Parts: sequence; C-alpha cells; structure tokens
Amino acid sequence: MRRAQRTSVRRGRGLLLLAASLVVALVAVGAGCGDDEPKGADSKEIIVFSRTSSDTYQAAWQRGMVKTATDNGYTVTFFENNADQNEQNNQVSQQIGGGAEPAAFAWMPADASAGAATLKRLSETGIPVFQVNQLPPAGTEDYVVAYAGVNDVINGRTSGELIAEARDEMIADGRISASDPTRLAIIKFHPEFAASIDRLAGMRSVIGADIDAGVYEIVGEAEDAVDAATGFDAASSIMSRLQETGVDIVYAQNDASAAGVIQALIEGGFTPGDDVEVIGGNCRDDVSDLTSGLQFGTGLQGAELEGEFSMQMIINYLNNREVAAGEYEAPATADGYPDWPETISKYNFIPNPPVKGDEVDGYRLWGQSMVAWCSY
Amino acid sequence: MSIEQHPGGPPEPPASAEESSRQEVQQWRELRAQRLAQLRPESWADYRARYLIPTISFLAVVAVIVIGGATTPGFLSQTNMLSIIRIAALTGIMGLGMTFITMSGSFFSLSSAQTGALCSISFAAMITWGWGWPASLIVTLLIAAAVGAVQGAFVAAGANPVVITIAAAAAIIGVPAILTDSRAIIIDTTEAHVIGRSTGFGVPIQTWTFIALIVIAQFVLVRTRFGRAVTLAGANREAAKAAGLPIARIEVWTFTLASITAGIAGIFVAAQSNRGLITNLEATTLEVIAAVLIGGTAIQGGEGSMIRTAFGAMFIVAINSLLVLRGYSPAIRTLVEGLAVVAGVSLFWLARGGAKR
Repeated sequence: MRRAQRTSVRRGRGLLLLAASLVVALVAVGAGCGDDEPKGADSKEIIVFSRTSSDTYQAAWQRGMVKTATDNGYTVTFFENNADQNEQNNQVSQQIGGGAEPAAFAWMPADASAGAATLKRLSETGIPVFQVNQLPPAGTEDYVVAYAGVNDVINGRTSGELIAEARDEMIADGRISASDPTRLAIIKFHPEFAASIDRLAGMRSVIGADIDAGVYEIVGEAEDAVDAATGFDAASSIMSRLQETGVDIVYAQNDASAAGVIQALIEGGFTPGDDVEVIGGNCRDDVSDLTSGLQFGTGLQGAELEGEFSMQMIINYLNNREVAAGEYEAPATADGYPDWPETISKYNFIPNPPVKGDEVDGYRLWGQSMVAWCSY
Repeated sequence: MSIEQHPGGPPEPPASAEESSRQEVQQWRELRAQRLAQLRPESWADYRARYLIPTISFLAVVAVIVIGGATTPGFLSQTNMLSIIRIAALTGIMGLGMTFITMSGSFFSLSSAQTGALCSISFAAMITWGWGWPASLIVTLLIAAAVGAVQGAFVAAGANPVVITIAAAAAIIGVPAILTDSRAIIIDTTEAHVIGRSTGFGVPIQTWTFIALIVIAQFVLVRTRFGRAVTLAGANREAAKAAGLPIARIEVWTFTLASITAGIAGIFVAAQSNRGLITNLEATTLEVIAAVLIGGTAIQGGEGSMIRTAFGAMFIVAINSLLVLRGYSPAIRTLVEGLAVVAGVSLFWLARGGAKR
C-alpha cells in the first residue's frame, strides 16, 4: 500500500515537472516567435562613440548631432576618447557588458583599422551600428548598417578643383606663365591621419595627372598642421625652401592651418592673394582670410552640418529599417535642407561645394550662411 | 686641482713629526686620504658642472647647425634661422619655468601645455571684450600664476608633483572647454599683433622675450637667495630642510613661475594666430621636458642652468627643422627627438660619473 502511494507521489511529481518544463519551453519559444521588434527598437537613445569635444570641429559636430536628434525625439549619449583607440575599445566593452540597448550606435573610430575588432563586437549586439566621420576601411563594411558623414576624398577633390581654378586665374592675370610648372606646396595634417590620406587622394584625382606631367611642381611639403599655430610652424619650417624655389599655390588641408600658413607666407615676404594663392581644405574657425582676399577658396564642410546630416541618416533608417546599396551625396541646396531620401544608402555623404573668397558673403547652404556654418 | 690650492683643504701635518706619536701620524694620513677622496670628485663635479655639461649642450646645437648647413640647402638661410629661434622661443620660454621645478627636485609639471592653452583662451577673450592688450596680458598672467600656485601648494603639502599636474591638466582644460562650449575664440582686431607679430631688428618679439627671460631666469637661479634655495632643495632636500629653507614656499614659487612662463607662451600663440583654442600648445609638454633634459638639468634636481635649457630648446627645434627640410616624416622626427633625449640624458649621466642623480 505504502509502495503504491510512493509510486503515485513520484508519478505526480514527474508529471508536475514535465508540465512545468513544457510551460517554460512554450514561454521561451513564444517569446522568441513573437519578438518581431528589432533590438533597441523601444529605445529613444542613440549612443555615440566619438573623439574628444575639446576639438572645435568635434564640438560643433556634436552640437549638430544633438540638434537633429532632439528635433526627432531622440537623446544622444556621447562617449568621448582622446584620439585613443584603446580607450574607445574599453568604452565599447563597458557598454556591451552593461547591457546597453540604445536605438542605435554611432561609431566614430579614433583609428578605424585598429578598432575593427571592436566594431565587429558592436555589430554582434544586434543593435544597428552606423559609422560616422571616417569611412569604414575595407573588410569592415558589413559590420555597419551604413556610413553617414564627410567624404574626405570628395573634400580633396574640391581642393583639387580650386587649385586648378587658381592656376587658371593666375595665368589669365599674367601672374604666372602657362609654360612654366606651377609651383605647389602642400601643408598636411599628420600624414598617417586617414583624412589627410583621403584628401590627398581626392586632390590627386583632379590634378594628379598634371602633377605627373610636370604642369605642377611640388616644391615643398610639411606635416602636422591642424590649426593656425601648427600651420604657421609647418609653413615656417619649409619657408627657406619656398623662398629659394618660389611658390605659386599652397594647399593647406583645412582653413585653420591655412591661416597660419598665410601669416608665415607674409612674414616670408610673399603676398597671399597676389604672388601666391592659398587653398584651404575646409572652412574652419572663421572666414576672414577668405573675405579679405588672403585665401583663394575652400570647401564648405561645416562640422555642425555634418553632425546634423549623420544623425538625420540614422533617424531615417530607424524609421523604416531599410538601406539601399550604393552612394548618396546630399545636394547643396541653398535655402533649406534637401528632401531627405526615405531609404538611406549604404554610403551617405554631405556636400562639399567649393567656395571662392569673393563668393563667401552671399553663399548659403541648407538655409544657413557660409559664415554661420564655418564659424565654430 | 691640487689639494693645496683648494680652499678648506685637508688639515696641515703636525709641526714636528718627531713630537707626534706614530699613531697620530697614521690618523692624520687616514684623515688626509679621506679628505682627498672627498675633494677630488668635488673638483671634478665643479669642472663638469661649469664646463663639461654646458659644452656638450652648446656643441649639440652647433653640431646640428654645422651638419645642417653642410648638407641641406636653405638650412642656414636667415629665414630658416629666424624660424628656428622663433619656434624655439615658445618651447624655451616654457622650459625656463620648467627648469625651476626640475631644479627644485619636483621633476616636471605635466600641465604646462594646458596652462598655456587656458591663457591663450583667456587672453583672446579679454581682447575681444575690449580690455586692451596690456590689461589682458596682466590679468592672464595673474590667472596663470594662481593656477601654478595652487598646484605648488598641493605639492608643498606632500602630493606627488606628477600626479597633481596630470590631474590639474585635466581640470585646467575642462573649465575653458565648458565655458567656451569648445569654440575657438577669434580675435577679430589687430590689437594683439603688437605681441604676436611685431619684430625688433628683424627678430620676432617672442625671441627677444625669450632672450630677456633667459637672462632674468639665470640671474634669479644663480644670484638670488631664492635661486640658491631652489638648487639646494633639489640637491639635498633633507639638508635644505635642516638648514631651515622654506621648502613649501619654494615649491609654490617654482610651480607659479612655471605656470607664468606657460602663460606667456599661450599669450604669444593667441596673439600670433588670432585665436584662443584649447588645443593650442597641445603637443608641447614633452618638447619642453625634452629641452630641459637635453639641456642637462639633472632629473632629480640640484643641477642645471637656464642657458642650457635654452640650448636644449634650440637643439630640438633645429634638428626638427633639419629633418623637415630633408623630407623626413613626422614618425622619423619623433624617433630622432626621442633618441636625442635618451642620448643626452645618458651622456650627462656619464659626465656626472654615473651617479644616481
């Protein structure tokens, strides 16, 4: 009798355990089947891994990101690094380890190649990852939903066009001879900086053949110029050579360094705007050298504009979760924002129109004056 | 230098050897031997401090100039020489202040570049507010002095100078970043050009200021009680304390002076470029330390010279200029700079007889 009771109790327990297991399995399966929502879909936060905002470009870029995010009901959390990929890798690990589930991650690597493994980990979270400001290197494209931001090759192309235009004007004015090589000096960022490499490639895509053919002669190159002070130092370091060979056009990779170059040229006995023309890579800090005629021209690449655009593309994706193959270059509309594509592309670029000094005052892009976009 | 020529030499032998016991003679001989052992290295130390180490510093600069002139067109041109002394002036001015800290035995300040950036911003802001350059300059230097004095006070209270100045660097750069929203402060007048762009006899004002500060700083270091106290505090901290020197006050003053020189450099950068930026002077801290070390100032303090620091700054800028003109990449230039510091420090260590200092 007792044995029968014990057997019955054991059977009951077994059935109970089986039933419980089935319930747990059904709940788990049900949860999985019903999870149509992508990870982070309920979140209104976008996490951005970026370089330090102590840099004026980065600070303005962040303001643009925040503005567009706020306008669309999102918040932005920035994790900044001091141009240190290792520091950024640690920040990503902390966010993944802490179970962060934002609507999207925006990834501005300090060093895109060195950060590839971290980008892969970020993509494996299932949350959409967008690369911004620096194009993804070959082999890492699949880790990001899309790229949105500046294209430094386009930037360099703009500079190449301005160099060619400056040469044509100088020949037309009789300041230089078409039969002599045009003497070109190049003042670069740090030569291993991806933006520097891409801008040079873009510049060469326009005038590279002429350089090789001897139409241009590169008479001096200096590096490590990112702002007015370092631009001055870089240009001063090759000034004795420029005085010896002469120089017709100087290409500096941004306008802040171009300001230092202009001062060094003046102190070296040159007259920018007269016997030498200075081309800046992108407008930065202020436009007084352009409007005063000391600088020939620049590319309009506003930092805040780039931040707004990158965030806009992220939000457009979050609205329909679709990406078209190929590239999209936003048009340089004057009086308002362009009509954004409903479906973003794999590569989305801001416009980078060339602007000459005498065009600055009246130039407008996306509803703002050039002065407003370029003063930060 | 013979034992007889040195003031305060060993004791004289007894007037009559016959009157002394053999034991007394032996004691005297032992005493003389000890005294000689003390004096010989000291006279060598005198020689190397006064002549050998300065000669090495000077010859290093001369060697770069001679090699550069012989191998690189344009290196010895007036323009390039002016460019070298102008760029060296900023590194050198900051180096003079840093030398006071190193001489006092507190190693280095790692917040000099940030102090300079802060001062470039405050000077630019004051100019744009219409304060005029004299008032902007004075108030900015007072801010620099206060920033340095606070760090010096922490060090005087026993904090590690390296740790304190790293922390200070973050704080110093954080405040203007918040206040300016990381925007550049553009000086839209030519008012600051009198500081940033004027010249005297064709030489930039930065260079004249550098030369004047070398003279003043060397005078303070060698001819004033404060300078001698700084040297003694670095040479032997315990002895300095025992002698009643105000070590805490020395710490505060050395950091204050270093901060003021960083402030002067920051003002020059802002006035020259018409911009106050938190990235101004960003990469100068290591160059300044290199200038001090290549100048032969002992890392642990007590031995050094402002003139040698100036040579150190000249050496770094001259070799950098030479490598740029020869087309070497920044990576090579950084490598050479690092090797120069290692070679310089090793050479000075050997010249000091391999002593710990």
